[in-house]
Amino acid sequence: MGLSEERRARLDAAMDQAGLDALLVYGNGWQCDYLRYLSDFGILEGQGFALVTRDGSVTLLLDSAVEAERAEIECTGIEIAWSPEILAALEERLTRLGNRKLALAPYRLAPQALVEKFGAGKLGDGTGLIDRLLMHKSAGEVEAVRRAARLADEGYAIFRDSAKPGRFDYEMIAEAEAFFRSRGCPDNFQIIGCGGVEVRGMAPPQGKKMKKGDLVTTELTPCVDGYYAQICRTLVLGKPSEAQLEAFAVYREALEAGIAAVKPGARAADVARAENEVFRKYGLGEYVTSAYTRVRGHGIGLFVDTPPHILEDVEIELVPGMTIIVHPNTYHPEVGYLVLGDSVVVTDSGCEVLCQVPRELFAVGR
Amino acid sequence: MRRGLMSWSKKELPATVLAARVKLLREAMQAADLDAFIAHTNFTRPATVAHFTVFTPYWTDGLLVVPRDGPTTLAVALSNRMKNWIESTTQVDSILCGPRPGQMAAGALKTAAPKRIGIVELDQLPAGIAKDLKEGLGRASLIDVTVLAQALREKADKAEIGLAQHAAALASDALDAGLSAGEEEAGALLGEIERQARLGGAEEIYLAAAPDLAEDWRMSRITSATPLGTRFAVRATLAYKGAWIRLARTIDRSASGWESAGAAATQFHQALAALRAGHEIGESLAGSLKGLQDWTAESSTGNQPLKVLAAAKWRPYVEPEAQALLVVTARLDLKQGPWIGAAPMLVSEGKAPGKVLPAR
Repeated sequence: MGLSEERRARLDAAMDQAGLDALLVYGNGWQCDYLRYLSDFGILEGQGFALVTRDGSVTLLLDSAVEAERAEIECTGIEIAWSPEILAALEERLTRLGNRKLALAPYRLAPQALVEKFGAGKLGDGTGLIDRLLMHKSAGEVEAVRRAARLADEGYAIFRDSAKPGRFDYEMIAEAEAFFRSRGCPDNFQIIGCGGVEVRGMAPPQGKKMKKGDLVTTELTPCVDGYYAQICRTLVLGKPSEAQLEAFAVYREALEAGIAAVKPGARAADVARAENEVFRKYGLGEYVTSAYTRVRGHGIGLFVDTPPHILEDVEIELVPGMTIIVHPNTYHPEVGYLVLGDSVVVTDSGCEVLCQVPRELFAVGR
Repeated sequence: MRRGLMSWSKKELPATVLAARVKLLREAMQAADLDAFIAHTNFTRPATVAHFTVFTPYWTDGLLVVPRDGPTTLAVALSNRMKNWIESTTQVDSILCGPRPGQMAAGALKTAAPKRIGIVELDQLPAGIAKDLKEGLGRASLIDVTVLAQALREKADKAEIGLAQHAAALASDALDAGLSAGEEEAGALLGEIERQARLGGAEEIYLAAAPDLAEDWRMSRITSATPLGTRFAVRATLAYKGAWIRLARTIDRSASGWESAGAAATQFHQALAALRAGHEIGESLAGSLKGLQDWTAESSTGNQPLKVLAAAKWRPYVEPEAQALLVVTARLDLKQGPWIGAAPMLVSEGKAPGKVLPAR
């Protein structure tokens, strides 16, 4: 059974359990996972809906002509429809469903006119149903994340080798992207930080020229068969300073502590706490707050950033088949923003680390 | 997710141009008796907000709030740590960061207490944001102002034309470099084109190919090892500092096909140059392109970049304005096989020929 058939079987079971006759999902190039789960289409431009009914039919409705053409080739066994007036076309289809029980996901991102027109009575909130499927992955889905993690390792090597004083930040990303496209990887999420103590986070490249002594941080997240895996690493241009090495050691200890906490029955909060305790031990507790960092890791899969979010107040239980990245990324007052993170899958006895790149502060361009 | 160069080139898009655009917007608001204007942005629907502020989010979404008088506000669902980055790429009076842009935008309008608020593509607003806005704005009337916003953008200004020219030149150079590398495998070709485009400063590039036109003329992404046929086509959809274009080329490596593909490209460029303000696009193309099977005309006057204006399969009566920026894609059925081309163009005034980009 292929990945899309496997997902479809799980979806059918979930719809049965919820007593749903049809499920409608929305997606665009930013939040594409719900749409991908039902249609296996990785949308880039415009927006789309997939409508799945209990008779087994799937319709993918897109408002971009180039995307509809692409979907005809990339998706099999489903109906593809193009309409530049997508809401009107959808309304017609939903009206034809009559009084059948229908749910929509993700509710918060779907166009408001749709929600307003049909209301919660006709169009229930199916977000939770899909969220559970997205979070708990099958063996086939985990294998896809594993393949993406291997590609992330290779991509990081390309990125690292492209770092040289005098190069621009966007040039490094160009090399990684060229590698991914040449390897058939259609998408990658990547942000970058470049500099010293003034750098407080990562963003898209801004045209910064790299110089000796700069820390270069990145999180790199290629997609294989729709599934993303992430790796976070930091390199230094030239010889690392003592302060940079000492700071990095804290992050490595925190990552190891976080990974050790990933096991069935543990909560997302336990992993975050394990990471953060290391920072607190070194007097860096202030830097694990929201003023300096967003999350201490997150789920990965058909989207680059999914539940469970690894935070000390998230009580989601970890179960085998969940794929997450553990990353104690944050600001360090002596050297600037540092990142280090590995994708892992929760197993029956603990977790399997999917990234193989050494957890080093790489020194390059010496 | 956006990961190309995202920076504000004040030389190419001066602050005075952005201020002039906001001034025009406010004049239109006054004429329409609007107290405030709101536009939504995320990186798949960023065109309106980018037009007035430069800003495009690389992630998540936001709202631009322009009251008829007083400071403009950008409310973005990014953390405060990203404020410096937003400031460096945005012209706006005030930036608010937090998880609920709808609440923040409504809060920014609280003192002004607007009665009539225009929202671009109101129907398409994400339900979560719309709910927060409606709750925060109380009894204010929310009015769809898509047509008003489009009218402001139908004629491109000099800066917008310059950015489109830059985007087209970047795509053209990247295609030239990739195609001259002599790759025999589609993924390797796309990888080289992508490298060149991003090294040149592209904010985004989406590549697609029809690797063997003898088999299939439809374009897709290449996700497995695929040899290039004798005749193939490649399309680059590229963004440069908020300006989006498409450029597609058909390559035929046989001697007779090479000549025919070249002649078709010339014919296509002539057909684009012949598009006139006030004349229906489909009629013009059909009259000047032999073997025309399919066509699409797109523009970036709404929130979505490169939204279809008209197409062979969907044909509302569209007459472009003079100085409109369009992207036209056409597929011809020729003796040697399908031919696909796409290019951006600027519709000229009067009887002057349109300008196909990149103009060298």
